[in-house]
Amino acid sequence: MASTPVLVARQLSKTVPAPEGELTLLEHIDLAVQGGDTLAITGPSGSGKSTLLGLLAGLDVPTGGDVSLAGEPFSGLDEDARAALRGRYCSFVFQAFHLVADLTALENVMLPLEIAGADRARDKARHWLARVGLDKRERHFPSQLSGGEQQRVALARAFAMEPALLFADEPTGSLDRANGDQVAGLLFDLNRDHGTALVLVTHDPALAQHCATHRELVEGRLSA
Amino acid sequence: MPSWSPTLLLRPWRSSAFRIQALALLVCTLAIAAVVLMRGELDHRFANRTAEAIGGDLVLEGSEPATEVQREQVAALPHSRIAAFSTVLVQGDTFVLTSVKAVDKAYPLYGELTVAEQRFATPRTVDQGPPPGEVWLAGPALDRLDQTVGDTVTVGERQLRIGKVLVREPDQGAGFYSMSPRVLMHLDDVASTGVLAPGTRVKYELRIAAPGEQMAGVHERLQPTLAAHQEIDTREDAALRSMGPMRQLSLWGQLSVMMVVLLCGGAVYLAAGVRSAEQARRCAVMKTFGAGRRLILGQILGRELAALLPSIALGLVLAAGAFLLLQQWLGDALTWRPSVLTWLLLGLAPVVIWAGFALPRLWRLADLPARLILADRMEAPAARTGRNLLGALMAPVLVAMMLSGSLVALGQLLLLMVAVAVGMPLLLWGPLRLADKGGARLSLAPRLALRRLARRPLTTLPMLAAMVLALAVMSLASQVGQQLLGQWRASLPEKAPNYFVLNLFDQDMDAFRSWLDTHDAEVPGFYPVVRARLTEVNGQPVREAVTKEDEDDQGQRALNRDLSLTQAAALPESNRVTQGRWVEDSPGEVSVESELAESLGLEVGDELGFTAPSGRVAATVVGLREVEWESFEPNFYFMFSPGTLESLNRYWLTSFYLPEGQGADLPDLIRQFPQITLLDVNALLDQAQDLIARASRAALALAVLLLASGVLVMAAAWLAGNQQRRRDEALLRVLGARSALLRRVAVLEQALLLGGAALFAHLLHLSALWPLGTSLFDGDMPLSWWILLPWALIVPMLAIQWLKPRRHSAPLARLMS
Repeated sequence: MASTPVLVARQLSKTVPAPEGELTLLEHIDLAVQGGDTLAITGPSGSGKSTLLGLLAGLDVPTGGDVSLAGEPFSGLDEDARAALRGRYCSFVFQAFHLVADLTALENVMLPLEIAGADRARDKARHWLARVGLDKRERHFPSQLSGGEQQRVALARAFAMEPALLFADEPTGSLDRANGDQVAGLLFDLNRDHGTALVLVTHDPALAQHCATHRELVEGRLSA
Repeated sequence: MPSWSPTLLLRPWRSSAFRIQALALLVCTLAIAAVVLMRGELDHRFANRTAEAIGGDLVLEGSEPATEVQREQVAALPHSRIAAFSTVLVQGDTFVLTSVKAVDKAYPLYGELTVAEQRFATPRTVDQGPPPGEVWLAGPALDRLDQTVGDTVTVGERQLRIGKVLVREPDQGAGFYSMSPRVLMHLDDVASTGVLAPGTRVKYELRIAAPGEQMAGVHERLQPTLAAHQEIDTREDAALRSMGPMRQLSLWGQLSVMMVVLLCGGAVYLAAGVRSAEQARRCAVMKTFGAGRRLILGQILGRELAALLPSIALGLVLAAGAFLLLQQWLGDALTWRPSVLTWLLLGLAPVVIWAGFALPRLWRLADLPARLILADRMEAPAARTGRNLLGALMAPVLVAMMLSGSLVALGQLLLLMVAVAVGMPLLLWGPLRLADKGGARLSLAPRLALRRLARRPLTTLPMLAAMVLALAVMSLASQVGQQLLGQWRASLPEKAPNYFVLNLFDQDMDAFRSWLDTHDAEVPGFYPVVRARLTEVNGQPVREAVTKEDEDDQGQRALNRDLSLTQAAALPESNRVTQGRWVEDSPGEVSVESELAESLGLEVGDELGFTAPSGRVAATVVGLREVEWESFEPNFYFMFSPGTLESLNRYWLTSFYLPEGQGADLPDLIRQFPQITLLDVNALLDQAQDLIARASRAALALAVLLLASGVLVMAAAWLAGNQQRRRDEALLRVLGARSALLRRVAVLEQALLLGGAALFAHLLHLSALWPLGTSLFDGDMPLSWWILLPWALIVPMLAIQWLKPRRHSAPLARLMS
């Protein structure tokens, strides 16, 4: 497993229909991420960063090229199989947190564990909530937490699955500087401690500097 | 300045919440308009029918003709003069007691006369009574006199020509219902017959056609001119006395309108919540750039309402189309044209509903600070939601006032509506919280489904309440509709007796039964009748025992005349024991009609004594009965146990059904039993059956409309929560959930929501049985299988949810949408 890249994208393209004809969002993207690597993808707004992340995570379907997770390609898989593949290898942190509003902090962290049928989901979730410093807030609902706290719950949810790969889409984009720094610190600490590969999409150069590799997306093409 | 280009008015249609709101308002408009138009049509038809039945919108009755002053008061309006009396027609040695109606050339003001050129010939309608010198005789009179059209007959001192066979009068039920055959003659001939002498019992009527609002004015003008012997009867008084179907239908119509308004209001309320969230960002941005409150409200509310107007207009157009169809379905030509004001009110009603249910939620945007909206923290506090809901309840109240013109008449319904709208969410909150607490140990799918519902009370409870109401209304509407139809049909079965026979004696019975057998006539039963007066109550003379002095009182009237007493082993089908029991098979017991018993102060256990020309009879009151007088069956105030009346002189009374084609044999029957009184009630029966058939159709249409609006509103309520559901599904997908889990969560959520709604709908159905039974069915509304109707809808819905292919759109796009 150590020799197989955890994420490989080959000749990835995405076009969408537009009134003027086909609009190319991404073109001929190639990249590979090894276990434990940290990759920052930056670019101006509208350059296609989030679209690329969606394609890499199998959340969207490319119009050309292919993506593999731990050597298993997304191409040819139906939605269920893609979900299963994601569930095995990767997790997510979003700019808008995307916690389930009806579930408590603890239940939100338990959710991916339960979906995967993991044993002792509650205990594991408690552990991860404590790890992000929210063990006293486990019965709070998202609406009762601050933005920084919500993102820390999202981090706990992402790491609870102990994924090989974590996708983070502007994880500090909705937070003030203090909370942003706290969440970023936590993200990279957890990443280092657990050897998780990280693909970080951001427009913040300071955040990108924490990653070992930095590539820029300009007009749908990724810099070398 | 806000722009009002057509494009901007079309833009809201891209929102599913807006489309739901528009659909709910369309349904609401259609339902309100259809029900109100239908009720208007039925009221109008009923007013016409009652006016026809009493012979005019207003009838001045007296034992002497109307005065010159009174006639001048109504000279400008169509009017007609009538004199009604009994007299004997003579032909050779044959004498026949008849009931005469002498009419002028304006008769009939409403409806048409049905006549035939010969006995049993094909009838046709005419719009005037007989000319001077002519009489029209009912069939039985011709049979008794053994005469035919073209012959002459002696009325008092005049010979009059028999011009036609009288089959049916439009005002047959107008108090002239008599045991004697009817004769119609011209009023101008009455004086020359000399039959009316001082002291003759005669009723004069001045009938006036004063449709609509005119009636009240005429009534006001005539009232001061009334002599002691005169009184005024109006179509409204007659309507109050009339048969049950129309009363029931009218009440049911009112209830339906309120329920539909409440259902659609609930859907608008739910959709407006989503719509408010959709508009919030735009509102915040406008505020950020300095837009004032007026501009924001104008842009958001003004455009929203303007974009909704086509739905309301379409609802009105559809309702108008349905109304035309209904008029054709009910038969006859168009009889009622709704006024411009009615159309305006119908157009305004959905706007009021929208204002009540949606406006507070959208208006709130103007008051919320932009930073809360942009930070996605714009949930309404519970107290505000409560105020919004209470405020929303005012909308149906306003609509009810607009449509009925009175709150008093709708008092009970409004109370029920407030109880349902406020009480139901409160009632549902407890079980939902309990289910949430108890659900912690459930597996993932049911727990997620339960959490979704239990932790969004501000969305779930109004949705659940709307569904409970929709399902309860569906099952109740079906049961009420079916029970109304069943009751009306049962009260007048297809083969209800169309002939009554009196004065049959013991020695005639065998031959009479044989005649009935020969003609396949269906006979409900034979009743022995003894004519006697009530003379003693508990050993005291009745005048001392009964203290009521009012001469109009039913009991007093009963004491002043001979009563028809009978005995029977079985309780007639149209009777119901309300107190005590039915008589047993031993002499000396009597069952009394309940209203008469109340009027006379009689109770179970009282000893009654009756005096007949042939002797006396005593019996103990063992029970009281409610009697359905409109049942077209023989009914009696006093029914004794078998054997009680054996020693007294009696005759027999019966009724039978004879198919229409066999009517030609009736003259033979009369010749065979010349002493019997044969009463032909075919015409009355036709009128009643026609009324019931029309009312049945209207009730069916009403039930279908309620069902349809219930289904549509429930679908709208379900769709209102769809957007959040799809986002949740996308997030689960991102976290690795497979289709099977999403399917299980979705189906379980629906099962919990719909199943819970159905269970509470059952409770609501059960609790509505008593008030509905009391107002519509005299307290008799049993539990029926219709209560399970919601499951007929829910099970297929769940099956569709389970079997329908899931959309495999990219979860990221759904999550970001």
